[in-house]
This record gives sequence, structure tokens and C-alpha cells, in this order.
Amino acid sequence: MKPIETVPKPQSPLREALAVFFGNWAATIGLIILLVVFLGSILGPYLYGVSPKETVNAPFLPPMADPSSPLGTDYIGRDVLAGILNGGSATIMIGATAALVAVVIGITIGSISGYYGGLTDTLLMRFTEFFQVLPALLFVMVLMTLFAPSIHTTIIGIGLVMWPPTARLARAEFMKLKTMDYVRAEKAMGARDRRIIWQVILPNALPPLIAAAALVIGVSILFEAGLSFLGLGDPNIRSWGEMIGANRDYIFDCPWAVFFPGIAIFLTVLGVSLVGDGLNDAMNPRFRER
Amino acid sequence: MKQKLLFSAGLVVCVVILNFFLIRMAPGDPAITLAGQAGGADEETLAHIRKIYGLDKPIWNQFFVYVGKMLTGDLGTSYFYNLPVRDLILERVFPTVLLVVSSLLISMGIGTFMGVLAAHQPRGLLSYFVTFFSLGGYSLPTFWLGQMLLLAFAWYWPIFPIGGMQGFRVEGFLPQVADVAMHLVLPAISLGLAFMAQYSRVARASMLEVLGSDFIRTARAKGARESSVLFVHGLRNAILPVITLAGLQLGQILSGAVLVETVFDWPGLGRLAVDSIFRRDYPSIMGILFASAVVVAVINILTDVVYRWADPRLRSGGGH
Repeated sequence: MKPIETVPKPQSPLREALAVFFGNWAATIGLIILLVVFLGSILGPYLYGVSPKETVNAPFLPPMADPSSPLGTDYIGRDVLAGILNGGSATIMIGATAALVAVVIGITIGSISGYYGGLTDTLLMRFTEFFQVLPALLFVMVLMTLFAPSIHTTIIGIGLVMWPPTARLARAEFMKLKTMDYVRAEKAMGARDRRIIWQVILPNALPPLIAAAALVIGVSILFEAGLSFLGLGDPNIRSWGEMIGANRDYIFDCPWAVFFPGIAIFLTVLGVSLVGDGLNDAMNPRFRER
Repeated sequence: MKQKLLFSAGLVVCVVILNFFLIRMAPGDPAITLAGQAGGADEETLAHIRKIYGLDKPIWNQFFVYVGKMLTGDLGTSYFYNLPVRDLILERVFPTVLLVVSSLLISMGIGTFMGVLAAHQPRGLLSYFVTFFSLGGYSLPTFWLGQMLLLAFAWYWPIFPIGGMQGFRVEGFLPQVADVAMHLVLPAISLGLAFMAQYSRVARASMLEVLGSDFIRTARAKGARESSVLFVHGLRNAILPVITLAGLQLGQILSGAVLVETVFDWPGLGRLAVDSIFRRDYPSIMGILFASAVVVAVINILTDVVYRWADPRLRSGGGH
């Protein structure tokens, strides 16, 4: 005999979160923008086989003037469209890796601070505050000059200045979660601190941290663009910021070589921020009712 | 207040320590690093640097010599200009502070104003604009925005000057002030817009909260005009989180200033930092990091004073 179903089948949390995410038009638009950016950066270089680094046409060619360079050329005749399609992967890769470094540092410091509290917390939070008000760009500029500019220096440098907001958030989550019954039960069973921090609390603290990480990626992309604009990125890599920086002195002669890469950065960061906001709403039950 | 002062002093000391260790961690001889010039310094200069920084003494000794020098304002010598770094920096502090403070005023003023109006009609057009603007403004690269403003309002429509801080041959005090103000408009807007976007969002959120409280109902009940309810009774409370956020973001604003100064050829600290990097002028760039920490510390204390002035609850409590 079959049991009669009286209780509605509970929806899985993942499905519920997805429903909230896609019910949010801004988040959906953000995701579409990101998909376009990703596809363009992955497939673009193959579909549009023009070299981004070499002179392929006359310099200062406006967009649409020559069908072989639809977005025009820069001051030494490099194709702007090729630069945009090829520069995306470097920009996104550096931004995402730097954000990962920042999130790992932030979660480590924030979790220790929030879990132990007391003097440890006070000291670590002062340290965090110090990094938060430090003029980050100047600090990274010092790093880049003392240690030769390379893709690794860029990533580590950005990671070193981007972690404070994640640390504060992780701390808040840990302070909230450490008083939960399941954590207390684990403690009563004699679990060591390391286990409680990494295996009990962290998995439960992750959803808001993931949403925040998306925002860190956005800021890191902007930061990388700023560094490359100043000419402090890896000189062998074409990125959107590097394109803008390279054409900085020729902005009145070929504004398009500055305009289009900027639009690409803007759209990517906007997409990341919209998705991050959407994730935040989807993963944070407190915001669901709104 | 005491806490704020301690924190500000701590910030400055931390940057000094950071600088010291960065010089030691850099590959190669610290004397060469301190001399700058990409290792092109002559033996006499190097010997002189070793002597004045005590580089032949134990490391803790070097540390105290370095900290002592920094805190008494001796930031070393820029071998590029052959001038003390302190003098170079003092020349550049005013333009940077002028730029940073005017963008702060623009972004806090307009941002809060927009946020308050948006909160007045949470489902209104302006409210949606604020939500959209805060995300968009946040995603714009500051330097690119500056370049676009430059293209539009200095080149295509030549309303504002293309760069620099002063024009040539402007005589008299008032014309000079007006001239600097004209030069300031585009850089200040470029630097301030991203922050304005964030402040409008924060002000809208806090104002929405404030508008539900009892004293607003009281104000309305006694027949106060809506504009007075919003801008006299409400604004005071809505602006507090904006001030807090602005205080936390001072470092970011200075970072933005480095980029904006580069775009507009603004003769400030950021410009000097970028130039020093390409000249491998390490004493200057480390001195600028130090000076920027001092600027952040001082403005941080000032925001605290403004906060106390804006929040009467803290004023009566004394708090010294």
C-alpha cells in the first residue's frame, strides 16, 4: 500500500536559490553579459584571426573606415577589435586569480578573528583596518617597482590589498555561527578548533562569502586595469587596461582605441557585480522576502 | 576621538615599518634601492647612504635609524631631482588634497541628496535611477571616465581646460582661484562619480530606515513641510553612514587620485609617484606612500570631527 503524501515535497535549497537568482532580472542580465564576454574571449581569437600585437593596418584608422579593421586601429596600427577579443582572457584571469588570493587571505584572517574573539580579534581587526585605509594603488606600485612587474607580482599585489572586506564579512559570519547549537555540540564532543573552523563553520559561512567574492573579482579587474593603464602591468601581455594605457598619449588622435577597451572593462565589471548582487540575494535567505 | 588619533598614528607608524621591510625584501643591496637610479649610483653616493642609514650596523639598529629619520620628516634624497624628498612632496600635497577634498564634497553632497530624494519615493523613477547608477558608477574605470570627460568637455566641446592645474598668465587672486576651479571640475567629477554612486545607495538605504522612525512621524504630525522633514529632520541621520563609509574609503580615493592625476596632468602626489616609478626613484615613491598615509590619517581625524558635528548624540557625550 502506498503512503498518502500529505506534506509537499520540499524544494532543494539549490533549486530555490536558482529560482530567486533567475527571478531577478538584473542578475540574469549580468549573467548574459558575462556569457557574451566569456564566449567572445574564448572563441573570438579563433573566429577573428587578426594578431592583437602586430601592426596590421595604417595607424589612427577610425572604426568602419576599413572593413578589415571594424573597430579601427591604434597609434601603431594594431587592430582594436583583435585587442579587445584577446585582451579579455588576461584581464579576467588576473582579476579572478587575484580575487581568489584575496578571498583566501580574507577568509583565513576573518575566520580566526571571529572564532577566537578577544585580543586575537582586536589585533587582527586593527591589522585589517590598517590595510583597508592604506592607499592600495600606491602600495602595489611600490611592490611592482621593487619586484619586477610580472603577471605573478600583479596577482599577488592585488590579492594583498583586496582582502579586508572579505575578512570583515567572514569574521561577522563566524561570530554569528559559532554560537549555533551544532557548533556547540561539535565542541562538546571534543572536536579540535581546526576542525570546527574549517569543516563545521566554514561550509555554512560560504554562501555569503561566495557572493562577496564576485564583487572582489569586479574590483580586482578594475584594479588590474588601473595598473596596466599606468604602464605597470606585465609588458608582454595585452589586456584591456594596457590598451588604454598604451594609447593614453594619443587619445585625441584615436579616441576609439581608448573608448572600446573601456566599454569592455565596464561591461565585464558590471556583469560581475550584477551576478554578485543576484547571488547575494539568492543565497541569503534574509533577502528572499523582499 | 582618542581611539581615532591612536589609530591614525598607528597607520603612519605601520607604513614606516612596511617601507623598511619592503626595502630589505627587495632583491639586491638596500643601499642601491635607497639610491634609486636603477643601480646606476656611483660608489661615493652608496658609501654616503650606507653611512647615514647605518647599513653596516645590526638590523634592529638600522630599523631605529630609519624610523627616527621618517618620523622627524627626513624622507631621504631624490637623486633624480637632487632635492630632499620632503620638499618635493610638500610641493605636491596641496593639489592632491584639493582634488581629494573637492571630490569628497561633491560625491557626499550630491550622493546624499540623490539618496534622500530617492528614499522619499522608493518606487519612483529617481529611486530606480539611484539603484542603476550605483551599480554602473561602481563598474566604471575611474581613469577611463576621466578620459571620456576629457574627450567630451575639453576637446569636442572645449569648455574646460585639457589638463594641469593653472593656466599661464592669469593675474590677480580671484581670477587665479577661478582658473584653478575651472581646471578642477573634470578631475574632481571623474574621481568623485564612483563614490557618489555608492553614497547615493547608502544614503537611500539609511534614509528609508530613518523615514519610518517616530521623530519623522512627529515632525509630519506637527505640520512640518515635506522638504523640511527630509532635509532637516531626516538628512542628519541619513548622512552618518555616508561619512563612516567615506572615512573607510580614503585610501581608495587616494588610489583613484593617482589615476585621475595621470589623466589630467594634475601636479599632485599621484603624478609624482607615477613619474618616480619610471625613474626608479625609490626614496620618492616610498616617501609618497608615507605622505599618503599621513594624508589619510589627517582626513580620517577630520571625518571623525565632522561625524561628531553631524551627530549631536556624540557631541553632548563629550567623548574625549
